[in-house]
Amino acid sequence: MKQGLLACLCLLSTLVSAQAESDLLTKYAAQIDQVKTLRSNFSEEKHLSLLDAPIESLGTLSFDKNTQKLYWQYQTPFQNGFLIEKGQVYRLQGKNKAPVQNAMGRMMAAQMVVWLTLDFKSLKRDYEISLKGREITFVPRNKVHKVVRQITVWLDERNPQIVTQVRMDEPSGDFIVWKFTHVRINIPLGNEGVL
Amino acid sequence: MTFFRQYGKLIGLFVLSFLCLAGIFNRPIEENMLALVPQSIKRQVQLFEHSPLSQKLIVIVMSPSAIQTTQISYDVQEKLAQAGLIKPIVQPTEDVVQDMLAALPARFSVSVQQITERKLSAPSIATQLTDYYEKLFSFQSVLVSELIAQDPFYLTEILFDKWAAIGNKGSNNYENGLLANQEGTVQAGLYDAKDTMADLRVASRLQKFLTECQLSLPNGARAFFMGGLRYTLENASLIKRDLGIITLASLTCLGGIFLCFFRAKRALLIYALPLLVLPPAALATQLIFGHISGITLGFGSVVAGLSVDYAIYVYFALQQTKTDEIKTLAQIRKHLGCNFLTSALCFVALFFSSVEVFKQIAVFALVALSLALWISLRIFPMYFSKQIAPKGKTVSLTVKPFTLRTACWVSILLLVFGIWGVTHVSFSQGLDSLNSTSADFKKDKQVTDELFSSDHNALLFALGSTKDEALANNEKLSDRLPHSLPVSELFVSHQTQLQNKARWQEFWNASRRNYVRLLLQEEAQKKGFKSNSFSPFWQWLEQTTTKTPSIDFSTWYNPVIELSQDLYAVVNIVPNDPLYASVADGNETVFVSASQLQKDLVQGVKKEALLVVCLALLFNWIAVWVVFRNFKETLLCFIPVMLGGCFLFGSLALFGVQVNLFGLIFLPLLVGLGIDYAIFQLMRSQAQKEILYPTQALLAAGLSTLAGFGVLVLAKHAVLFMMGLCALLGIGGAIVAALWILPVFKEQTI
Repeated sequence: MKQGLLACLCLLSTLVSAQAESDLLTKYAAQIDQVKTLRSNFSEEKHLSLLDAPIESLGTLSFDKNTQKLYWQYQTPFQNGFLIEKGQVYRLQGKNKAPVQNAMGRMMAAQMVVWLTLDFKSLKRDYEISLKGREITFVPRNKVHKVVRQITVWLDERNPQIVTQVRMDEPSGDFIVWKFTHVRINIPLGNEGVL
Repeated sequence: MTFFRQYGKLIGLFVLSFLCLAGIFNRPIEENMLALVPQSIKRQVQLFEHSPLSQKLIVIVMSPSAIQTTQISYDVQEKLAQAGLIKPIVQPTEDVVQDMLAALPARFSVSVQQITERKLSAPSIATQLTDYYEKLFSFQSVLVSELIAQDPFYLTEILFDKWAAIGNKGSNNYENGLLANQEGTVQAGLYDAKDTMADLRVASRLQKFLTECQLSLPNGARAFFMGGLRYTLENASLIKRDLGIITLASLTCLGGIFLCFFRAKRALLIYALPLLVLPPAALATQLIFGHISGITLGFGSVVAGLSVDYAIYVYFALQQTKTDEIKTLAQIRKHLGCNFLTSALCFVALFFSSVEVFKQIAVFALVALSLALWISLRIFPMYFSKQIAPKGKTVSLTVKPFTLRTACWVSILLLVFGIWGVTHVSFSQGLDSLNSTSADFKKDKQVTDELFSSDHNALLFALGSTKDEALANNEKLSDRLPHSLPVSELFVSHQTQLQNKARWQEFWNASRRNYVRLLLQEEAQKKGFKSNSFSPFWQWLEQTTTKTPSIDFSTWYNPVIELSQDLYAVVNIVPNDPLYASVADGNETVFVSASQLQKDLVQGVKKEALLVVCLALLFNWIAVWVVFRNFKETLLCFIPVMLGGCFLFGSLALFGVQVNLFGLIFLPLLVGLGIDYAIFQLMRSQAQKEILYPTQALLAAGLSTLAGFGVLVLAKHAVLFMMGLCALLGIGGAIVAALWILPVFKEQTI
């Protein structure tokens, strides 16, 4: 009887905690949804088993939610990146832009928009989502996902509208960390990305 | 008992007809394209039918955004497979790089060896590693890290390039089963339909599925399908609509004719005649050929028009004469026999064509006409012989022919009009003119044509009695060309595979392996790659030099087609260039371009039609001469045919009608019918037999043919419309000539 009661309490607390987590995620989703424009610097650190040491790139990004335009530009050590504009994906190479021909490339670029906007509706379909403080973890529902083992997103302690860091772990053990600095939201963006 | 004596034969005929009908529908009605083409281009059409694209169902998705289009395409693909409308998508492989590498030894030709040697030079290795290193910094790095470990020299690029060249695809991009335009906003999925490409039910299901799918698509996005199934659906929906209108119009016209000329219950038997003769004729055709074409059955309306003529002539002869039945029938038998002979000879001429459907039509028509003649002379007279008082007043006609002067002028004008028409009439060169499609279809087809620009491409086939022989012949063919055929390098004959594997093992000897390994390590260190980064490649190489694996690409794409039990062909998609046409000998190698094939087909059918018309004219000339034994009367018999033909061609040219193939098929029929009307008129004037041959009999017969056949002009379907138009103009012209012009010239000869 006592054990049964304890089990019920455990179950109840789990349910209550799951409900609280879901409420919080919904709250964050609503706040993030208010972000219409975004401009930031970023660093990208890749820990690859192929290489002796991690490699780091620095760059800038800007995003306009209304037009779904994303400009992702690496500045160092190589100047390249991609641009999503009017539904098209372009590869940026120096001052040139060319359409991304392969479907996988296009899908990967499109995924970046999902992560930047933290579109929970889309993400819930493909990932199991858990929340710990301001750290949100996404684990693919497809357990044999070839590219992603887990993705972790950190929200800013003071303003949960801002993503400060993203870490993507690959099944091979490789991982990539993006850190975002000088994040400004809901500011006029001008003509970034126009080449 | 009296009832059975009176109606037994008739009931027996209806029962027989019903049994034949059941027999026909016991077997499927097949529509084989090969049955429609002349022998001279049969092999080309047979090969073209087996081209990789012609067997595919094409589902096209378009939206303003490339990303959205890709997402929708994959979504639609998944739903189509779930709905069981397409065969499950076979993903090329879990690990494309691994499979491409595994495929390399068997495809290690001299040219591949040369490219490999270049890739293994020190500068190339340095460039390749620099390129790989830079890619690791890009947003697509996760896609390349595995490739770098497995293939540091990027040897798989050699085969990837050959795959890319296989479709001679120009500026479009083919990937993961999707062919996209430059912008990626229009993407076509190429699938294997679960069922046959001419199955109407499947086409309807697919259409319903995509219509429902459309509702869930974002604004501005569209999904539709093309390929054989779409043509089936378009043609079927149009024919269904046409059949309703045509049946209604035909029944109204026949009703009008009945009211004008018959007005008696028993005369209804005349219009029941087609029901009695067409099913046995169709069954006989099916038994002789093993199958029957829908076109042959469609020709039933024409044969029906011809067959009722016999019954009409018998009916009027028996009604008009006061003598006994036997005497009247004996008098009219010569005329009907002659009519049958001329019509039958037109169909006999079709036997000399190499088009199978023509032969089917010949058998079908000959059986039907023989039965119709027999029933008209043997069965119907007992029902027609009693004098029937028509309920109400029927038309009693006396046609006053033109004056000689008018008849001459009209004939000359018609001749000039006809000559001008023959030189100015335009024939549609495309097979599309045989399909009738909606405005939506035309828009969709334009989008599809932009993706699959078949005008620039052609097909080059290498034939062989076995798959391997076809592959070997394809390799020989490739050697004769300045640029090798990609298919010949990816799909290799057994003998060449053995040679290539031996070349591979010889190439990767121990000293080369060590040397290249050192070069790679040196460059890798400079870039910061770990020393063991490329172990997967070296392990794989070790395996291939001890045991060379074989990989079959045909699960990805199969260019080898089976034409018959001992005839195979390898398909190469090549530019539509005379260079490729010049290497084809027509036996071991065949070159087929869609545009040339269409021209050849139209030319071939034109030739066949001309041959059949000439033979029909010749046979009829002989037959009429045998009947009349008089040159002038024989010549007179051809006046309605000639003037009807002149009126037909002149009108077609005047109104700018593009004549399709079925317009040509109609010509022999015009010969047969036109001569029949002339024989009627000549018999009528012979020995003053007006009472046996009343004008209203000719008019009722002609109008019945037009009511059954000419109303097809109301159809929207191009084939039916063309047959109807030709009937209306040609037969209409022949009737007018037989009634108003022929008697004038006949009078002059007496």
